[in-house]
Amino acid sequence: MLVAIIISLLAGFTNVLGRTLNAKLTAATSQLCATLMNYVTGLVVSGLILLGLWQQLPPAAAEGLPPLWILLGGGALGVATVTLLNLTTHRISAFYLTLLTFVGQVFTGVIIDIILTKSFSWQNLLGGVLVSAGLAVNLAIDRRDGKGEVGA
Amino acid sequence: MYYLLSALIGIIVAVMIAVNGELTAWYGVYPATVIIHLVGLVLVLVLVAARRPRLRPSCKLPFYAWLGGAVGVATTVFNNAAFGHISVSALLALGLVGQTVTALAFDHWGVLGTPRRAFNKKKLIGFTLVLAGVAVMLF
Repeated sequence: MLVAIIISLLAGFTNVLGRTLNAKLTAATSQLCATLMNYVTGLVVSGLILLGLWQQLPPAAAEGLPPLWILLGGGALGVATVTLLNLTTHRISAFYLTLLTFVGQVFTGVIIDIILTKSFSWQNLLGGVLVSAGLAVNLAIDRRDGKGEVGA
Repeated sequence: MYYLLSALIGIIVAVMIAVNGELTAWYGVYPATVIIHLVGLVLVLVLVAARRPRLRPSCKLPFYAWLGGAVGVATTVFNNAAFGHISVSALLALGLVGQTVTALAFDHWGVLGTPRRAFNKKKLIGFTLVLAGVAVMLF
């Protein structure tokens, strides 16, 4: 569990680092060009890693293709996220954009856990409320300091 | 409407991480990461074909501006690898903790040209709440 906790925190770190780098690329080119470059470099890098590790990879857990929503869903939802973020950024305050995005994530996570485990967890719900409250407090402090957004 | 859209983005991110986790359970972390980027690239190419933007990038860009995609691979690998080992709620909450701490550090030290903003100690109240929430989810 400790390893999963550390890599989840690292995912947050790389998320902000990637977003900061992409913001620079977007400023110099355009949103669509930056997104395209993002996926091209992403595919090249992930492909090279896969080739490098090919010999050590365990065999696939199951034969054949997974359902289409599993095979294509994640990639499609990633592009949907970028597209919707571009639509929304600058149309509402960064405070509400960041807060609603964070709260949406936290409580959807709680619902997904109910679906996956087929049981309701009070701990997850209470944890979700506490995490959302903490993020809201910090974002409100940011806004009062004249900085509307958490992150780059 | 844009408020709803913002919440929808959060919902989509959470569902995406769960779907990517299912794909990882099927193929493993690294093949799943390649599939996710391949599907994404195909869809972005469809958008590019529809909008036909000017695709000549500036030559004055620092080299690290091209690294965003590579760093994105790390994010996908980390999320895929953590999926199934802790609850999705905890995975997402920890990701948000990581994002908030990193953003504050970038602001405080002005990393990668981010405008410098000193850390406001009042935020320790928010962090205490966030960490308490994560602890309740995990233990």
